[in-house]
Amino acid sequence: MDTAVFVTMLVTLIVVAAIVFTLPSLMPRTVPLGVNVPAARIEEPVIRASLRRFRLLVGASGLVAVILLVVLVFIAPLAAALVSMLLFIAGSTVAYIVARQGIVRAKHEGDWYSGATVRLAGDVTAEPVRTPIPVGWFAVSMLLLGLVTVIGAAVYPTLPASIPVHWSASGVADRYEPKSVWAVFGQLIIIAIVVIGLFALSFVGRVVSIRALPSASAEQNAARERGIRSVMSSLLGWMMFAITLGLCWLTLVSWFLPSDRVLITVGVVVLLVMLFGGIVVFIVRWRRAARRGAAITGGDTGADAPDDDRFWKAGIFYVNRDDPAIMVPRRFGAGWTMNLGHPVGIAIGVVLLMVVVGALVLAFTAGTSR
Amino acid sequence: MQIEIDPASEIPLYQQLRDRVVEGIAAGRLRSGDKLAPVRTLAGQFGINVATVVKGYDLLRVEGLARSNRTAGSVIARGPLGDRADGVSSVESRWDAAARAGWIARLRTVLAEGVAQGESDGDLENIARDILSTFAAERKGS
Repeated sequence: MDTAVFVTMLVTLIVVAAIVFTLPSLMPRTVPLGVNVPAARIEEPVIRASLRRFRLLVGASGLVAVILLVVLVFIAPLAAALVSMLLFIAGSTVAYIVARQGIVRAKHEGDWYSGATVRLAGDVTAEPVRTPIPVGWFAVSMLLLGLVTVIGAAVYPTLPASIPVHWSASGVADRYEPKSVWAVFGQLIIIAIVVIGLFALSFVGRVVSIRALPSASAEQNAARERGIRSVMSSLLGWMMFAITLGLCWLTLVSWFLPSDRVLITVGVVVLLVMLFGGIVVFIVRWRRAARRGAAITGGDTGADAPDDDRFWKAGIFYVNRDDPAIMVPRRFGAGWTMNLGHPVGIAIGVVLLMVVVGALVLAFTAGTSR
Repeated sequence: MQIEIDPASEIPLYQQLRDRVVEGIAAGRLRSGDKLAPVRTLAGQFGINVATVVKGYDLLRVEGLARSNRTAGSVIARGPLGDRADGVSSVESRWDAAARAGWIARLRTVLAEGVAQGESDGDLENIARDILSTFAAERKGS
């Protein structure tokens, strides 16, 4: 087990734990842990206590996962990474379920919504807000790919007869293939597919409906909607660029200096920093956009959004047959989720599930075959 | 123009939607020729059934307050006195006589409620005048 790989796994675990730990403070205060509460109740002690319990349990499972990773890493590195991450996911799921249950119970027992004025808000003259498409990032990524392809074509005759196509976890080339178009350009083709996939994904934003807040003005609601949409597009754009830059670098290294471990490590580290950095910036910007307008909910002024907990199974899965929206913003976490009460939403859910299961099966078979 | 509807109210949502639009026209916040948001967009913002919004828009269309435009969807078709894009001068030629009679019947009921509750005729007139001057003031402001 290489130190660099161990550090990467450790950093990944810590970054993920930190993100989950801070998630509750990203949401508007009227949906603590995905539970709808009226603005007049956001200071309830039970909410604070539940959030504290969530953070405590997430922190504890993060700590246990890190210890497990450190202990197991010298015995079974692959199992260490897998077990510690799974343990953290299980731990934070329990934390979420246990902590939010406290708020749900207090809300029902105290009948928090009786007496609250609830309204649905909408703009009858609004032009539909278009989700921006990250065309610029896509163009830059494609340009970079084109450039590297041209370089590859130029040096193709001078490349050795045997090309490294796989590296061990520690950055040493461990599998070679005879020189062919696929062996040389295969990775670029895969990058292109990923980038085009992300670009296509950004169009999903077009079918997302974003609720207007009754406590905010039409201008604030429009600004909030534009903000949320552009933050999501920026994330996808940045991901395209980061993946292209990082993997093009690794491709160039594999052509010219395939045995230079330093250059490979630099490429991997830069790629991870760009991906994690992009996610952190995204979360900070999402928080600002999602809380815009929601922040002015003072309690006595303005109405509350109606209690729609019944549409949010466990605060995570949205099921509303009446809602024409195919996708909506998540209530706990950042980004979009599908409406499982809509036929197209169900179809998207099934495809996502198949992709996740497929990826897991692939990862598992790849892991055991080695 | 942002509106709010009450999902807990006994008044159906489509009726509330129609009522808010009518008030918007009276207050000059919606003018003749203004485009109404596409039904799916509005239903998505509220998170309600598309059919509910369609029903509200249909009501406005039947009343002649909105019309369908092939390129722009639904547009506001009428406005208060002095805000006429259609050039028609008299109310009678625009407002269907039967519909107007229906409105007078509703107004009659509303006034009867006030009288039955013991409001004086003078107070009722003042209240009506106040409401009308609020509309007029908002029209001037917008």
